[in-house]
Amino acid sequence: MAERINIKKRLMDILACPIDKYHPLELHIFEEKDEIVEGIIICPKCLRWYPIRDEIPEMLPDELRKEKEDLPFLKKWKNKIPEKILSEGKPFNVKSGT
Amino acid sequence: MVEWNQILCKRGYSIEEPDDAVVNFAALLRKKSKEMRILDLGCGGGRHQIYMARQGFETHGIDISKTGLKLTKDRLEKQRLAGHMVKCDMHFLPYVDFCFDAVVCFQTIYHQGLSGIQGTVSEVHRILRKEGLILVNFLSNRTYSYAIGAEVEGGTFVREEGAEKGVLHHFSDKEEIEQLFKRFKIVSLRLHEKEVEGALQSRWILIAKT
Repeated sequence: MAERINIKKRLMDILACPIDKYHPLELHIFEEKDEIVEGIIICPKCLRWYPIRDEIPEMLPDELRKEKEDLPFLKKWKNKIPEKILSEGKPFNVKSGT
Repeated sequence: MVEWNQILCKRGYSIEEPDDAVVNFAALLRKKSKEMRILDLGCGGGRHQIYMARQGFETHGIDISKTGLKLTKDRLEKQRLAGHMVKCDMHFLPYVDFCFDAVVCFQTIYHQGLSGIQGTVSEVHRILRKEGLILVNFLSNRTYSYAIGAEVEGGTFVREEGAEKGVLHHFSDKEEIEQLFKRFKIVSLRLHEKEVEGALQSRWILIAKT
């Protein structure tokens, strides 16, 4: 387990927001087995959020994001996601989403 | 946007062995240190990331295809190797400045137009440490597939049929590659050519240093 925690930490040590390159990013874990199965990575500067699905962080620019996939993810975990992201998160948030 | 997941599923991931250029690059890196952090930019099914992980390097693989990333992750796990995977776009790398010792970018960078390639090269320069190395290959305009499809801009063609329908291919000459990497020091730039089933496969292989 110590090794796995170390691996996660090492990735977060170098991950930056792909848009504004801000670092450090916030990691919220929703489901965890050997690795983080589902979670979210947040840029506290620009409020972009990036899902972790199937143990893989997805850090795409806005134009490659798919609202149909991302909004249900946001809604699924709304009880564990900071309110600021639910209401103001980019590129999609619960307020703006249909 | 091209659906790489579908293309890679159709094409399969049968090429398991790393390219000789990557094997040689790994040997070059090992001479410097084993404590290196390597990025496989466009890892596909993972043949190069897996090889690098086997050499003891800390490896990171990125790709736009989740299918490729999952396959690489599964293959790493089955071989009890460590590696980090991130789905991202090669113009918006999600890493801090100066954090990688080396980048491998094989059969990836030329699937876009020249301005896109310039953007990727700029991002690679940003994330490489001082004296960091990149191994990258480009299609030469001597290769058998040159000018297949419709030309969308100078040297860039889009395939109009077949498994790679909709995929861009950019073909480069030596001067263009030197210009693209003018902020780097070029360690070696050579044309690698071989006959495959009677067709000439011609690619530039570049090693450059920040």
